[in-house]
Amino acid sequence: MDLSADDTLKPFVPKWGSPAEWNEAYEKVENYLRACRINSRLHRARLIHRILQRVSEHGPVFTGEALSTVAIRETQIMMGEWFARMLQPASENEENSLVAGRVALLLCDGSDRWPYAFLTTDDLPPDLVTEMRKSMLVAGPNLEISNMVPRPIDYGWFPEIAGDTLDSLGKWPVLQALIAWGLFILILAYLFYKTRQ
Amino acid sequence: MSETPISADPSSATPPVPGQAHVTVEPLVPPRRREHRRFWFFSAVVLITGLATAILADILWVSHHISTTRVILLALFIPLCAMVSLGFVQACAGFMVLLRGRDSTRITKTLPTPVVPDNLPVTAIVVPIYNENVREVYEALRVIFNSLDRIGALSRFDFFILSDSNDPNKWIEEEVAWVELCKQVKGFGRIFYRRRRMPINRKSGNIADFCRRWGGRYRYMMVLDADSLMAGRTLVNMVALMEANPRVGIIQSSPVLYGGTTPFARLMQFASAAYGPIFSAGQHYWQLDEGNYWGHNAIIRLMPFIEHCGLPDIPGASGAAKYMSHDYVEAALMTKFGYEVWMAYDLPGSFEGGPPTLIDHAKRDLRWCRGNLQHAWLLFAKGFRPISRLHLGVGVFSYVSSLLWLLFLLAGTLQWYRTISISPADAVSTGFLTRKGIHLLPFYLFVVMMCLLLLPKVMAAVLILRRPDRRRKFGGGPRFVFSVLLEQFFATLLAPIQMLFNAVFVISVLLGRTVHWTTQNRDNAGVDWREAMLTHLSHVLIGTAWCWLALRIDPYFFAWMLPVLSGMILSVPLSILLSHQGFSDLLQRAGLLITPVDTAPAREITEYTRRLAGYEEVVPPPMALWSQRGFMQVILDPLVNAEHVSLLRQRGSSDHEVGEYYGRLVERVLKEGPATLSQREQMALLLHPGVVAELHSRIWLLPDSELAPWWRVAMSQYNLLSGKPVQLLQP
Repeated sequence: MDLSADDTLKPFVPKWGSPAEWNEAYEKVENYLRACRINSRLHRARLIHRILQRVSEHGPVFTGEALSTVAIRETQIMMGEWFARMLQPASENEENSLVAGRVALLLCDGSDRWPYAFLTTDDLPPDLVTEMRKSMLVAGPNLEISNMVPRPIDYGWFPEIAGDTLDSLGKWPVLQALIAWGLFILILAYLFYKTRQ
Repeated sequence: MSETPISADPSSATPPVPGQAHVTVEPLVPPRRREHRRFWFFSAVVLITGLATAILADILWVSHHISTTRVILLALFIPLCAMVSLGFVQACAGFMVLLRGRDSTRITKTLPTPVVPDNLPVTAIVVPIYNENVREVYEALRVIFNSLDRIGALSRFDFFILSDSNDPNKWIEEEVAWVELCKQVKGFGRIFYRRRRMPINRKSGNIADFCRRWGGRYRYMMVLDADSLMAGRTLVNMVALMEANPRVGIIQSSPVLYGGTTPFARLMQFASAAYGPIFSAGQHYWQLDEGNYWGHNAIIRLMPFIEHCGLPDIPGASGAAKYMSHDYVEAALMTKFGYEVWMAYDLPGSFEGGPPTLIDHAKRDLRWCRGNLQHAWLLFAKGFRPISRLHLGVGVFSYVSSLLWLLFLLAGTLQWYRTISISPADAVSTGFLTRKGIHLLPFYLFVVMMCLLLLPKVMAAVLILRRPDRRRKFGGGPRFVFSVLLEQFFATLLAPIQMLFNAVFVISVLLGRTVHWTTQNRDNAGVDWREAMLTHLSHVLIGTAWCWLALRIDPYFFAWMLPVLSGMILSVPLSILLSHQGFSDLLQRAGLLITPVDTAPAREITEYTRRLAGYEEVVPPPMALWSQRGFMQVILDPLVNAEHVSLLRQRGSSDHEVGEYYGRLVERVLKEGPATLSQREQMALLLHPGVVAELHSRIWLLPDSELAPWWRVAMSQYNLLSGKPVQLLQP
């Protein structure tokens, strides 16, 4: 998995798969690395070259998987190995290691501050290793639980009467509508009467 | 960092006992003085209301004829006049206090000098948010953070962003921006983020959730709103005031409006800056240690808050209705259990944002109306202090009064009609200055009411005009005077519109109905015509019909009603004009509605405005991607995905096996794209760490042919336009 300058300069011509498949794999890996914020095009190109070369070296795929799938998986394997090396002691769970590694990379701005270091093993900046190892996502301090529970309020006599009335009205929407329309008719009748006195 | 153990009163030898504040310190204001003030204050309110009522009664019964309409008119007038008188007397009290320039009863008098931040306990700054503009909230937090850092008090505060957002885009934006902010200000371990899985009981539930989890760590919490901004020095002083006054449960600062760019917001900002101080000082004059809490820009003593302010369900209503306006209730409970609630009206450095348009203002009013009307249940609750009942009652009445005003105007119309058409003799006595110049009573009443309404503004203006430095901060004397007139002109037109809005809100709340709003279609020009037409259509119709009726009844009556009715008829253009950026620019060029926030802004406001203005406009991705940006980001971006999964696992979210329900959703997302999922379904997926991790893995592993076209476009566009389109906050 080592990525050295010599590796990337070796000419690489795939010996199997169609050009369209390799194009798709290239594009997918490039998109993935861009999503990982590998913003240096130079470094991205070197990584893509190396990843596809490794895929090519593994030989043709007979499982029916698309070449792009194999390429992305290879990328993730390389990332997993790199993170395990960076974040020692590494998590036993491969997926956890991958998550922890990506979080560490995000928190220390690894791909921005060390644009040529991602997935390389030669001349790793010691600062990057230190920064990644100390990066930790803490969403909240340690809990100190308090017992804040709803305290009853003695509302006095008013809510009992009003509450019962509202409950009754709520249970009888027809009655509610009748009262509203009744009031409306009463107002109209009042206006009619008063304007003709 | 931890400040345990915590007691209700750090200086008290008596251990705190649940139920009552056990403090030995003398109260800041002797009870006798407090009662004395209140006696004179409320006597003045009753006197003015009584006089005005007597004049109206005299006008109505000048012909010695008692009718139902007249009784109704008078009955409606009394509470309305009492509210206006309360405001007037409050302004007079505030005027006296500010004119004298000293007030021995203010809480800030107890501020120790100098305040040494290192001696203060660590305080939690909590910011409950719900689908807010993430950039604005986080930039405000950054400004507060920096402000505290400058005075060396950063180590004395922890920040908590407490999210209840249920929009996937907002949720992911908040998470990403939190990490960015922490990276940029080195705030890891000091700025925390939590999103509740279930947003039970809205904002008060969010605060209560914080109290349950971390309340034991802190002696105080400072509650901010999403649009709050506070100076570091103000925060430190508020903590110092709490330390100096162990009887105090809550200190409410008096926030000044800032950041208004639309004409409507600038009007509100001007009114808040020009008239706010006089009313705040007046309010404090009679409230003293039994003040109110407005839900933000306030500091709270946590132990009694946790002990006494857990709110129960509202009685009466079926189901478990919760208090929507929790702040008034919490202040009432604090005072009930012996803690003081103060308003630090003279403490500078506290700011809040306001609604940008009339329609936004009405939407906020609807929420507040619902919350305030719920307080009617508490008016007769046992053990509450009388002043707390008054706070709650005034809150209820501030919305009910709109309905009463509307009824008063309707009853007045009917009375005028009857007077003109039935009893011509009465018409002589009820005319303005009377047609034949016999009676002056209506004119006197008119003058009294205008004085009650306008004199507070005149007094506030006098306080500003008499000081050259203050005049300059408002753009100079002539401009300030013209601004006052302009504000009054628009306030006159807006008042009847707000009356109609609130009257409808009150009726809809009482009937348990929902008020529907037109979908907003905002651009830089503000409110669009469609939105304004649909929102104000009823106002225009009512105003036009009333105009026609008034003209039919009596042209003279029409002239009386014109100020009220013109606001209704002009509501559509008014709403648009007051949201129009061009008009705002014109006002600014003319130097009108200028406030100290514009001419001598606090450093925090300058920094906040500069930071927001400094953002470069980036070309957004196509709308199909933009509308699902949160989902896209958390699934596609390996780093954001890891952050999200890590946060979910950290808080113990279930990582159980993906069940059939989730399996179906995952397949739909992959094959049809996220837009086919409802917001609820998207949230269900995003709450499951295993699903989020699996989706990320499968999206990248599957060949393009097996994915929805949406994903293919998203993958090829993601992070393409710039190095960091995902980064919401600029360093």
